[in-house]
Amino acid sequence: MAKNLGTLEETVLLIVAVLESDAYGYTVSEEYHKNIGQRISISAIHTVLKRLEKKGYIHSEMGGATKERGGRKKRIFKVTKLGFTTLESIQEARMKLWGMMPKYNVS
Amino acid sequence: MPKPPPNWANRFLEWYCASHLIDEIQGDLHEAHFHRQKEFGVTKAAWWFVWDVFRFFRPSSFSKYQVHSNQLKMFKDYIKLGFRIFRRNKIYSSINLSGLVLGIACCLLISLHVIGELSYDNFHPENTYRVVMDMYKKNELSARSTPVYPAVGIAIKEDFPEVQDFTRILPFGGGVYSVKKENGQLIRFNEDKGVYADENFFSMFGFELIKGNPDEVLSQPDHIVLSESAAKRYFGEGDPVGKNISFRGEHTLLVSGVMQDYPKNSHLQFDMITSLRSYDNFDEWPQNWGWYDFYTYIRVDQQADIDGLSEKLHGFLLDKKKEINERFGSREHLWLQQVPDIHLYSEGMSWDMGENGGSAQVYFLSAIAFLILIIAWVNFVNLSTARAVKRSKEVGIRKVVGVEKRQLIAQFLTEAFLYNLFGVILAIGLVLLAIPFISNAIDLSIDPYLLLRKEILIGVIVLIFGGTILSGLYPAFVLTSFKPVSVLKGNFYSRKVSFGFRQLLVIFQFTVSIVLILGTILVVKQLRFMQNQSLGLNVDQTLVLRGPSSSAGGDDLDNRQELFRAKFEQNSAVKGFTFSSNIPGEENFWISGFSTRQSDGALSSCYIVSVDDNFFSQYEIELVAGRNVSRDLQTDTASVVLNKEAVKLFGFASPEAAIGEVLNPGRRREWKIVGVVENYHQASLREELDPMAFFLSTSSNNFLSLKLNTDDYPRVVSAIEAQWDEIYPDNPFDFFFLDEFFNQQYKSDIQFNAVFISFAGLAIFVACLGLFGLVSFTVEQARKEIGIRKVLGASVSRIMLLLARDYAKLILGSMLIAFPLSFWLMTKWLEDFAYQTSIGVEIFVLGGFSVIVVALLTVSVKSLNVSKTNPAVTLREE
Repeated sequence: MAKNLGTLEETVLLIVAVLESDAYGYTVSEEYHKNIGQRISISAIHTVLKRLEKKGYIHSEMGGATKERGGRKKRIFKVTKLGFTTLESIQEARMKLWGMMPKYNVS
Repeated sequence: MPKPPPNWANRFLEWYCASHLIDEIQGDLHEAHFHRQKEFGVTKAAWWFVWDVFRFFRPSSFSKYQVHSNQLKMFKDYIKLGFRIFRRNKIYSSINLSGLVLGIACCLLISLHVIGELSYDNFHPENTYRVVMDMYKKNELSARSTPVYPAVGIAIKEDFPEVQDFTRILPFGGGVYSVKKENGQLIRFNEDKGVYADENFFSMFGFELIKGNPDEVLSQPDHIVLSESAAKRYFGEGDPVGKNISFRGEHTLLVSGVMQDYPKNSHLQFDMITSLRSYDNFDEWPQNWGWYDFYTYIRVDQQADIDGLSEKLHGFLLDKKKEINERFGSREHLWLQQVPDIHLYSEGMSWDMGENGGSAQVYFLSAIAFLILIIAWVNFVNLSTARAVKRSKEVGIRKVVGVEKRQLIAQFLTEAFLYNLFGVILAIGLVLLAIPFISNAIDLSIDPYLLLRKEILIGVIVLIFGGTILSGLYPAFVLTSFKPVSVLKGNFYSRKVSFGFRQLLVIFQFTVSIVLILGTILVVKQLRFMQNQSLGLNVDQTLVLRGPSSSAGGDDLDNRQELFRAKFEQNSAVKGFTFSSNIPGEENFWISGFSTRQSDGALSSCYIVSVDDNFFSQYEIELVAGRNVSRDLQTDTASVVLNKEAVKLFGFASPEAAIGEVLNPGRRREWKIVGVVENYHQASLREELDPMAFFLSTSSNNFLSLKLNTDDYPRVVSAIEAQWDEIYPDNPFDFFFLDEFFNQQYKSDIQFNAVFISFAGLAIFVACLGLFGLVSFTVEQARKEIGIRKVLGASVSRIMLLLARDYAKLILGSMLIAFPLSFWLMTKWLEDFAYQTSIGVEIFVLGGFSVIVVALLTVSVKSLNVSKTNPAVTLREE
């Protein structure tokens, strides 16, 4: 199920989940920069969000407009049930793998 | 205040973006822009916004309606083809492209500079004019004065209802300003951007006040407004309003406001404005029609008839000054100059406040930029048509399989479009890279933010499409006109091309290059000439100190001057010491009219310098008649020394005849002429010699010149500074070396020089790129011919000669056109200078020779390569 989810898509999905009801293009890109450290253009974020929506992990609705946005409305994204279960299953699989990790002596 | 993102980019986004997506896309970008401004600054955020807008420019953002036609597919194909062909012929393609990039980059750079120059004073209220005065003496224009009498503004406002308001600026606020800090430390600076102004100054101009009410800050006497940076100088971060600052030690002024630092593109540049009411005889000014030191600006009613007003102003002073005019045989006319015109159109006007630009220079630079662009396009045309031979088979095959001519033309135009598009993109990159370097090297201010302006964007689009048409159309028609049969049969090659369009283009390129090169040589020669010309005086090893202006009042400064002078009598490192009101290289604003016994009351204007008795000997100015003024003679306080130009001005037969005559300044006592000195250059050699009268002055003066006799300048200067601080603790120590100071007058000439040399270099470089490409092709085509010639016994040098001959003819041809043309242009250019170098044959010889060498080198690099090839290799092919 989680096969068709790329790394960037996964990260963005996580950010949408974290931001709860305030996830839209600009906030997602800012959050990405804050947590991942790299900048990613807003247009790239839009593409990813659109793809996630097409795959059914998130859904969207139009939100309110603010002055900074020049009076334009936001498209607010929310994680769907499928999105959550997918995130959880990825995390589970990872934890399992981490649990199997032998002790390395990296020096 | 956050700034909105660049309007054109925003409009572009709205144009391409589908309506159901515009909310999220534009909203997100605006929000991001809003936050980035705070974090990264306005400029960076604007660039980022533009970049984002282009990132979103992709099919998914477009409206649902999509074009799915063959036409579009074909275009995709053409683009792909264009890239392939570029890659196949890397050298020629890069030559072609780099020429275009250089040409376009030049054009962009100069446009940025020109836009900057045109943007001067565009932030003031509309309908503001400066009142300027043309002064005639005996029906001859003697000066176009930018300052006028103090009564002019008042009278104009009273007499003409359409004049709503006026303001006057008096430029005498320079000198030492000081503030005593709480810990007793004295902060002192010499300010030269200080003026007095009427109380409505801030309502007339678009300068912003940060602190203070614009209607009140200058309404009381002894109130002063400081610029933000000046306020920082004296008060640090604290609030200066309500604090005291003293001017020249004697006057205490109250800081009433702080104004924003003036933008660079303003002809007015002030740091301190004192209320005009503070000036001594303010109340007498409504009757003062003699003292022209007041820059006067008026605001006119929007509906007013400006032409009518100008006409009335033309005769305005004839009535007001009737009596004086008749007595002295003079007349004066007022006229109105629009404030935004001041920067570019004030050539030939006297006593202006700041350095103005020249419209001529702007036109000139634009012309050069345009020429370089044309050269680059010509290159493209040349190279593309030259390549026709190589591509003729491609065209032949396409035609055979049924491609229409129309489609072929579309294909070639697409290629030209791609070249121009990438040319522009790379050129913008190049400009961004080059701007910091250019501002450093030639001190030409160019603001990269201007690249985002609508004018530039439109220009760039016009450039891309215009360039496509201009450079693509001719090659497209040439390439598509081949007959498939003859092309595919293969007998198309020939070295001998008759005199055609391409040859004409090469001649054009080289004509332009030669003109530019000759021009460069002349510009350099003129600058050298000016700098090496004898000035009539010796400015070497002269340290100049700005005279003290802060005093405790009375004779204080005069007494201290004597103390200071005495300090140097024993100092062996200081050979001479002299005080004067003016020094060579400093514009002299002190001018007055004098009559003589012979002149029947008519006044002649002469510049005045007050000097002490060492002045002439220290500057090595030769005395040609009479004697020097002397401090020891009581009567010499009423004596004057003229220069030869002044002798001529007052109409004396000879320097000797002038001795013993008198000058009459009108009201006060007469001055007896006791000596005549040789002329010296007060200003750069652009200017004529001025008539000057020198008076003896024992009181304190504006400049102290010290003749040094040392190799260890830092030590001597710091020793002098220590002595200065002892005697003038309230005045800043402000010094410069006179030879450097004098040469600063040539700053704009040196700048012009640098710009000219770089552009001429670029032009010849681009032309040679084109020549190289062209030669390569002709030589490629002639490989077989050369092979056969070699087999038949021709030597390498003979073949080189054969190949070079064709091009030598073209270059000689362009010289025939370029030489007379440049001679004419050079003569025109030199007319601006009072002292001109000769045009001389050597310029033509040098210029012509260098062009021939460069061009033939270019030709021989390629042809040597081919002529050395073993004929077996070339003849084996096919």
